[in-house]
Amino acid sequence: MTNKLLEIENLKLNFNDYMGTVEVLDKISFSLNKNSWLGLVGESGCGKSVTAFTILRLLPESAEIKNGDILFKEANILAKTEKEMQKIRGKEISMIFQEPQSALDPSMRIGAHITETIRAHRKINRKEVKLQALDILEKVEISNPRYYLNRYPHELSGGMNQRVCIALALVNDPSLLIADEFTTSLDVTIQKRILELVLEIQKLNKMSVLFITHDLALAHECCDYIVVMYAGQIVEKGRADKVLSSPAHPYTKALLNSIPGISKDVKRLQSIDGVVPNLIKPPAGCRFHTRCKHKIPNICDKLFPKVRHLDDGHQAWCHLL
Amino acid sequence: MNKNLQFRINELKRTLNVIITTPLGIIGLLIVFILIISTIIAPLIAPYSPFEADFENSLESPNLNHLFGTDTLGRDIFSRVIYGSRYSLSAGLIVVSVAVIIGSIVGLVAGYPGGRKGAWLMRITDMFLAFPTFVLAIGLAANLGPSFVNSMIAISIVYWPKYARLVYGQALSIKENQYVKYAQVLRENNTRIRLRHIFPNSLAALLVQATLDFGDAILFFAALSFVGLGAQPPAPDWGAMVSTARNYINIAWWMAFFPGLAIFFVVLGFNLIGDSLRDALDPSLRRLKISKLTWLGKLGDHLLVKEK
Amino acid sequence: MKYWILKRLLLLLIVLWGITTIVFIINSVVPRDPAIAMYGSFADEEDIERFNERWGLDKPVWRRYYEFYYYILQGDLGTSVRTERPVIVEIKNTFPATFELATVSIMISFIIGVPLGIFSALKRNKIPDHVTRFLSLIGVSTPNFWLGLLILLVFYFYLGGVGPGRISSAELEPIKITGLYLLDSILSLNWRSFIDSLQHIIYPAVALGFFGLGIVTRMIRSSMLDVIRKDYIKAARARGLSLVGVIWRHAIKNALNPVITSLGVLYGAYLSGAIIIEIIFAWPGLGSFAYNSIIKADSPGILGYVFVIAIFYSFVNLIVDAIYRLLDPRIGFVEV
Repeated sequence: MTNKLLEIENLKLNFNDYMGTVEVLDKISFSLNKNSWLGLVGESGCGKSVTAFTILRLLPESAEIKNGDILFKEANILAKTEKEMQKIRGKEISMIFQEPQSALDPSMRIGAHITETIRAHRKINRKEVKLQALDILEKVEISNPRYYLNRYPHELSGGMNQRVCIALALVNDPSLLIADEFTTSLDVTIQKRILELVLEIQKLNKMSVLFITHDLALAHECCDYIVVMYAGQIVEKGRADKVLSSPAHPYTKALLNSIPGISKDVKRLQSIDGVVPNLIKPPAGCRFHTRCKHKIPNICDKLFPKVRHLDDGHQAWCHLL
Repeated sequence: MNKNLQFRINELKRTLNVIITTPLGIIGLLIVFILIISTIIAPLIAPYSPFEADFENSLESPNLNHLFGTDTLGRDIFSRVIYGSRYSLSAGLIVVSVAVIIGSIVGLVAGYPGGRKGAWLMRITDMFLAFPTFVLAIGLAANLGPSFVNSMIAISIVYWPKYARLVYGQALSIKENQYVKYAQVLRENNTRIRLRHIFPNSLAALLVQATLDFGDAILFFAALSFVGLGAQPPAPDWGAMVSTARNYINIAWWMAFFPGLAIFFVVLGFNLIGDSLRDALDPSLRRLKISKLTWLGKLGDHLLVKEK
Repeated sequence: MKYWILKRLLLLLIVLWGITTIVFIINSVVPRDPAIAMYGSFADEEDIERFNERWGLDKPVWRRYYEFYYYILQGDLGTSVRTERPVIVEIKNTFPATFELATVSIMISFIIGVPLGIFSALKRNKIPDHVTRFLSLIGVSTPNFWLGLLILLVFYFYLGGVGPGRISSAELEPIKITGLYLLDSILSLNWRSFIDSLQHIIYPAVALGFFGLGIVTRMIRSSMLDVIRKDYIKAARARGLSLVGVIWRHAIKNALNPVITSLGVLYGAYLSGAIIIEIIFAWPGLGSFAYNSIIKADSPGILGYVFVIAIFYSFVNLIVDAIYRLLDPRIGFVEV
């Protein structure tokens, strides 16, 4: 019995759009242990959310998985039927999103949402369902849950709605929680509280969390492991404290330099020049070479770098190492 | 300001361009083109006079001499259908134009400078909208007396509130723009502001709606004629033709079939154009290249009334 | 909620006042002389005078306005010049038939249109979608009188279906409870009557409802496409709900909202368009009454027709508005 809850190996994903074939994910490989917190970090559009949806097999019709395996509890997700996936979604693997209010049906009460989620996976009678609903609302620190059961999403604040979404995700006791930027749209004051809430619950339930974010500061707060993505590829991964204190890849370094307070010797905030490349015709070699200050001509723009193993599971893909 | 107007005219031109490239849009344009042509050169393409009676050949089914057959008085239906295009086209044109003009005036006056007076004006306008349109038109046309002109008046009266509302809505959002505020500072009078700034900028939305309504207007007029309140027999108007053909439907189906078919095609043509126009302005269409998307998106934004 | 109802009813009264005034204005502008229409162009002076006196057409305008309201508030819509019976009686007799026709037509438009629109949205840009869009385009482009005549031709003459009118013979008429044949025959358990009524109403209802079918299909399709793109749909699937379940429980409910408002407008359109269909199918409803009034320049008749339809339409809109607010929890009853 391995300690690995989720293993993604060499995942390659394309979108077949009218405008061409977009190479969204390339050679994505990482694994997530039980009872641990992995941060999937990167800019907007680098493929983090797509990875999450691929795990849940909720991709649009234009998506095509070219290659790769996704093993969850040692079973291949990509081989499962839709019916099998429905049993997994919301029960074994849950997801919470960036905009809590959009994630809830505006014409349905909170209680109805919870009831629906419970009954989708378990056969219980009405009374028991209601008790569990009240229970889970209390667990996410909603006081007076009886009142909120009958309310509509638009009657609640953003923070309350996000708690509801977290409740929905946890009500069936999943092993893996995918959290896609779930604090980004909240007030700063509430962000911390919600993050701490999920942290507490994670430790309590011994759940694993795949935390998708573009905010390295947040990642620093809670992650055990970090995977850094750029333009659909993984550029660096390893233990969180290692990656954040001694980043190896130029992109990771640049990211850290653009955040005040984390990096030790920073005198000015630096932004990264250039834009994310178009993934219909991705750049050859290392995809970051168009913006990299330390690019080696004729190598970085021609060959994809082999993995460099730094100590203790810390890996990076760069020619400079 | 002139540059602004020029920009929008160019945008309109490019939108037209998009319609032309859609297959259904092309069909629509073709149909309307045929309609306009047959209206103009009717005397040239019609083999017979639409009024000439020929009792010996009455109630003939379609044959080589008479493509659409003849009616009870022996008149050639094909020729009558061709001439009928004049009534339909002019009806559509007149009704929409008059309604747009009246509606724009009311909408402009109510929308700028706006405020409570304007809101009350719109409430009165809304009272017209409390009627089902056709019934109101019937009431008006019946009391004015059945004739082509009176039906034009009746339909225009029924149609203008829609455009008044549209222009009113446009005015409300346009008047928040900078150039209007500059004009106010420069103490331009209300009429000038309305005509020079607000109206030209609502033109785009107005024209789109008018185009979409053209087919409807023709249908409306045909229905009024059918009830006997529009063009009167012996005029070769399609609606009137179907009306007189009603009693002979089982012995001479062609009398009603072909004029009705003509109405159908013409309305279909305008609706096709209207549809492809609407599709062209939908910023969420992914089948267009990105460069077109951005300016279409902007055009679409300008056409949507912004909520404050 | 009660507060809102009161507010709305007050507004309705104002609107009704506006409507009646407009109706009156229409009536006053009568270049067409009903006397001549009644007696023909060879009527002599005396007859016309007598006629005008009898129908009160020789009084000044403001007096007529006053009398107009005086009578209306008593429920008297005048007497039909043509039939010499009170207009209100004629309307009472003929309105149920039109109401039944319009209602069945609405049902056809929605019962066929809604599933079709949903289906079209789910199979977007595939063959079923194109076919549906094409059909709805045809629907909104077809003149209903032409369609009605074609249906009449094919089903009544060529295929020898039922005869014109509402029922085949007076014997088959159901007991009059509501005036709606379909309902009455069910309530009195008269199956033969029901079948016969159904056979008679289906053709005009299809002719009337075809237009709305096109509109409803397009509207639902567009609304569904909007809703499917929403985040809560994706979120629901991420919670393990099946695609069918999500569509059924979330998508359809939210997609239906904007369509409810169009229900009111469509109803008005059918009540109006009924006049045409009733003429063609010899349907003894308000529309036929209106048509006969038009031919004979029966002013009170025409006015009564416009009046009743306008009032009914306003009430329908009120009800539709209430239903809409009831269904969408985001829009309360506070706003008018």
